[in-house]
Amino acid sequence: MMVMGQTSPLVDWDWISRNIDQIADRTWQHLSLTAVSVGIGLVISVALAIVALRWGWSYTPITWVTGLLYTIPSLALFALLVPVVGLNATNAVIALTSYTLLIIIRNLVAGIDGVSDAVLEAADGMGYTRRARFWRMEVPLALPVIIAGLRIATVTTVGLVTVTAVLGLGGYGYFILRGLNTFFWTQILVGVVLSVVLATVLDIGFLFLQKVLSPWARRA
Amino acid sequence: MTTWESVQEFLSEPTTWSGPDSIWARLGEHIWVSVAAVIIAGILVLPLAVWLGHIRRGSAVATAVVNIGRAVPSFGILAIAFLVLVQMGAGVGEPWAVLVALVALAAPPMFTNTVAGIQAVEPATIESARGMGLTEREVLTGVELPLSAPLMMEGLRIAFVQVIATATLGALVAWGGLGRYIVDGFARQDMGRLIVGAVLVGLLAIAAELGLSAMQRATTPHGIRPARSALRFARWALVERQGLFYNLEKEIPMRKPFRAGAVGAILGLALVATACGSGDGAEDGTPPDGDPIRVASFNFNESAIVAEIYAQGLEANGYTVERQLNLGNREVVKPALEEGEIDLIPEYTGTVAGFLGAEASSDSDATWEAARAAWEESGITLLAYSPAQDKNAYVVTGETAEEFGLTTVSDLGPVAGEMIFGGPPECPERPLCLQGLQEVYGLEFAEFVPLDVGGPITVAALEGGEIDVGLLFTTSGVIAANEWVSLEDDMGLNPAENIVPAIRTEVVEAYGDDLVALLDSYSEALTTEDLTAMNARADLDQEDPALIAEEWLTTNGFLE
Repeated sequence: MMVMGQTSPLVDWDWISRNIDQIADRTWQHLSLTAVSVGIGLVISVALAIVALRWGWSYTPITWVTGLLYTIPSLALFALLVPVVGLNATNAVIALTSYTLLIIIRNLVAGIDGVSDAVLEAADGMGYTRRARFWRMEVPLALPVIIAGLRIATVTTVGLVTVTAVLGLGGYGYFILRGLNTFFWTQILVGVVLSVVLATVLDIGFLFLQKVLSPWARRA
Repeated sequence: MTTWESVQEFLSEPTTWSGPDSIWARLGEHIWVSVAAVIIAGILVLPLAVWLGHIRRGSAVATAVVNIGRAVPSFGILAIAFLVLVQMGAGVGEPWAVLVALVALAAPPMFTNTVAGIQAVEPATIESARGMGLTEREVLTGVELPLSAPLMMEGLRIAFVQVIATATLGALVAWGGLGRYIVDGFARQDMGRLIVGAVLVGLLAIAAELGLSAMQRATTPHGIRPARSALRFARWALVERQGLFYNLEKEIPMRKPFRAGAVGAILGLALVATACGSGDGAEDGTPPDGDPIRVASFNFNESAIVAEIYAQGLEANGYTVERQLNLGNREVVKPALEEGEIDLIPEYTGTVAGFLGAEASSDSDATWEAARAAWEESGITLLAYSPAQDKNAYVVTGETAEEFGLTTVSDLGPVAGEMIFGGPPECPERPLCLQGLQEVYGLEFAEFVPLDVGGPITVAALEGGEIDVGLLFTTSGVIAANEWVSLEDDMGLNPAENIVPAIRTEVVEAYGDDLVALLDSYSEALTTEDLTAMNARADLDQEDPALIAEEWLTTNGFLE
């Protein structure tokens, strides 16, 4: 059993300190892949959600198509995009973005649609125009649900970015794949732990954003 | 060949329809492991979840479980499970690691949705049930479970669809399933195989989603079926689907509703995020003076070590270097180099010559010249080659060698038909792997098992007896350490395999002779013995390739 790495400790702190630059690079890669994918996903989702809210019948086909995209396994989607766009960040971003759509759109639509009719009637009674009612009543009230969608989309994307290691990217997933190729525990653990930490930090960040943006929701 | 033609070709191969790598076999593996994972997860978590739901506790735990479950990357869980099990002695290629990872993946949504589903039953309903004289057991089985069935089924559906998607990753840890087609297709650049695999997995996931949705509707008691208005239904579905417990009907507070720029801020954030990352797209292929040199390596230790030697040497001499180590196999790296996504990689003369369709022989000079000439017109320069060589080694354990009296590859002739051969996924398409073994030696193995590139997975498979013959490298440190036998290539299948820097001609032109002289000096100093010693340190002692390379540069006087 020579190859199993009993000679090395589970966590080789020296390796971590030697590779701190690389860890920083991979952090940036992980973060930027996540941010770009969720960012583009949000822009597309807002457009589609506006369509769905304006023309109610379009919601079913929109969720059908985005649901279909959501169902395709990530490794399959990355692979299918290789002949089309090649082996690069564009491939990863297209696939990752497509996974965020269903989550964000559903929460946008559900959030806006969930504003109670009484509020809307009150707004109408106070003389709000349709547009003012939308921006000043419906959107702010829907914010907790919308941000909940962004949180889920972001945390899910952080996890999926690790799979882009098969494309030579991967953020922290690079360490997982490399550790798997060499049976080197430290790299795998660094990849997994940092990925969880990143997801948690971003999740808490959104929670904080939600508190800041909806102060009326704070309880004493 | 167009993509469509390669799909047709893959579908017309007999092995696609029968044998261990057939669609039926892969589909069967994929389905049984997915179903088993969900059943095991259910047995493990449902009793606790039902109890917690019944006593109306643990909703905070339920939310935390689903959040943590979402944050942990399933690829990471899979890698950890695989390493732990292999180190405990489980066989490579067995489904246990995949099963463990999938159970861990399936458990959170099933747990959370059960707890939440039971707690979502109106307390008034339960009180009336108790008032009517139902026992606690009857309350649970007659009221709580039926009313929470839709949410529980939703949890099952989320779990099952995720499990099917993630089982695809099993191929990355040498297991089968439909992911095998994707990983192998990727490794061999066999678009037909890859697309068939991806489409089948996609269809399976969609079928599971639709099938379980139908079951979910069927198990919903009539009294609580939602109104069919499209938006109402969608909202109802959302709240369950994501295990989100926002009660949309009553919890949204109303007061001072307007907050300037709330949505503007979100949109702004999205735009900033988009703008920040736009530099991340495909890079333009022409490096002018002073651009960083992108050094890449194949996905095995030796390549990473030599690439680190190049990278650190260049850095020490004032060049800016970007590393893309562990990029993949040659099928992936070659286009990346030709299209300018990377600049420099350590190559092997014989393999690259064969890959380019040039003549490779045991003569180092002739092989290098053939490869150099063949690659020149694609804008790639092969610099001077190193005396260090590393060839493919066909390795058996000491016991196997003794049992069948094996010392040369030819000796395999009478017994190959009963033996299992393990190597990298691209092996069946490679002239120096299965193709060459068949053409030159006439060997037809009983089975081929796709593993890794002469790495620890192949070693573990050979050690555990899952394969009889493994493809390793002649410079591999594990062969001697395990007293294995590297079968002599008596018919000369393997050509000269000198290590040689392959670099984009544009980069050579941009930086000129200084760069070439520097890389030549490393090639000249590197020996086969160095490679073997360095590989042993990386493979056996798990030392960091970067550190091994640094030591080599220091020992040979290139670094202070």
